[in-house]
Amino acid sequence: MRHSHSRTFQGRDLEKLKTESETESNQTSKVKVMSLSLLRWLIPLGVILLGWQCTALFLASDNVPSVVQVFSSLQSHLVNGDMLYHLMVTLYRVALSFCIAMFFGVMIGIVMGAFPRLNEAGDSLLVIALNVPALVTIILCYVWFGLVEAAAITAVAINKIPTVIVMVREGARVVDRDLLQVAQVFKVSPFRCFFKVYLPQLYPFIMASARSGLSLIWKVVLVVELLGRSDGVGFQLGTFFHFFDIASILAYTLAFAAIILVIEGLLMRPLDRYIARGNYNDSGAGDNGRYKGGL
Amino acid sequence: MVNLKIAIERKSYAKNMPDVLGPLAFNVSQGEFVSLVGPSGTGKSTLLNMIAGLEPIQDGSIRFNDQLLAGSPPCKLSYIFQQPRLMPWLTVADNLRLVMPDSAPFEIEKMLDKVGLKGKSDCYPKQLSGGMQRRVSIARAFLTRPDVLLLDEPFISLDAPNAHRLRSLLVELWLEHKTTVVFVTHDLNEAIQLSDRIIFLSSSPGTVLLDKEVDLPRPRADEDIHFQNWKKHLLSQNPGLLEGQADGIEYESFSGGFI
Repeated sequence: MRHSHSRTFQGRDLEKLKTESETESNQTSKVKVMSLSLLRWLIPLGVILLGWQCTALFLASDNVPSVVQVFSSLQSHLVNGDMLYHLMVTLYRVALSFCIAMFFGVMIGIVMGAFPRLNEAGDSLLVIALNVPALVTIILCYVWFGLVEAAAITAVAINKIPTVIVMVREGARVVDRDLLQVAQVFKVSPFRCFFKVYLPQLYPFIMASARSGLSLIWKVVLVVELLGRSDGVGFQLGTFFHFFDIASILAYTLAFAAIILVIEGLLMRPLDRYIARGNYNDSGAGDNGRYKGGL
Repeated sequence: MVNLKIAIERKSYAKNMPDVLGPLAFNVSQGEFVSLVGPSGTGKSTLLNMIAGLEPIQDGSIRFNDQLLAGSPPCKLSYIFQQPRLMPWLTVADNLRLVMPDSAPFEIEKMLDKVGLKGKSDCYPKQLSGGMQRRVSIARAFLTRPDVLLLDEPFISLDAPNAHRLRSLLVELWLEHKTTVVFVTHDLNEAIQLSDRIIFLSSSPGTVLLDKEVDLPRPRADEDIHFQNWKKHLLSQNPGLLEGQADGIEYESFSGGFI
């Protein structure tokens, strides 16, 4: 009796100790995981930069600037030049054409996914639109609408819309009719049904097209700027190309790539987490594994 | 307070497909709990979908209080589906709020409390067990204070204690709300335990084989001797009933096992 009593007492103490040490180890392990993921991130970057620097030193060519040269160029453009202005102009164009392309792409994708007849009718058109080279739309837009901002934005949006349509259409095709029946039976208003029942089923598809869209759009925006605008990163790259200023070209590229990374981290990932909110379960198993990677 | 008058001539999904429902007619008076029992594939779910306005009526009519059903039902109707059918991206509370946008938080809490899900309002459906999800769908169905409640084998694939608990909950809520209920099942015990009247459907295309009043006092337990006798009597008088056979000659030896 006494023996068992003391044992349970000990057990309780042990448990208490255990939980205390657990919370402590939780905190330290959190820091560990953070630093580990940071390391995992930095090591490949460091290897690439190091390889680049070595190659540049080895080749000793004007056409292959070293890392140091590129970063000093980046610094001078940032501090003394108008890099920030050009970056912002390009970013504005990316954002605007991205929003336009997503809006129309999602709308048309939903309609085509929902109505099989319309889908059949529009399918060949869609295939053509998917395969028209970006350069052609850009040139045509400039010829028809003049060398204006609207033409530039339109050209980029037109390039992106078909790929958004294709992805969203797939989502709209596999929409869960069972859930829509729930909305119908309980007489949920069309507005609420669209935003609470229908659209959430498309979010993963919209998100995927947004991801691929961002990378495509900023590349097309640069071409548009190169061909018919007098500001923006594309225009600057064209100028540096004329002077064979490779260091500046790489500096601009790095700067914009960094901005895209920031957008990805600050906008896309939190959105991902928001969209996947219902799919998280306690055991952590299932199809949400893909959202679990660290930074 | 709604009564139902159902008169279906036939129903098929496509022109060259066999009929799923044959000529079939029955009424459900207001506040009555009617079970539809029949083998699988007799069009029970189709019939429920027709009552809910999810499935078009080809030949025949369904009347709510003598008002012909065209499009969506002219009264508040709730449907508890075979699967809980909750929106996985909405929390439990938001799932309930979806069907009753202007319900106060305390009403939702009260409803969840009634189905034994107190404090689960902020959970997402995937965080709940299957039985809990079903309870959410029951809560959702009763939150709208429906005039008509349709249930399509809602307790299938649940473990016995859970199914038992949910059945008593259903009866409790039904007694409280005085809802007209149409309940589809192929479990005879369940039907006897819950309903005022059982309608037995034949195998496909479904027609009414037998319309039987359940005159047992409530609450009914399926291990109760009166319950067992009632069931035995029913099956001995109507052999082949559960197989959807009108005469039951071919199945006599099989149903003899019950007697």
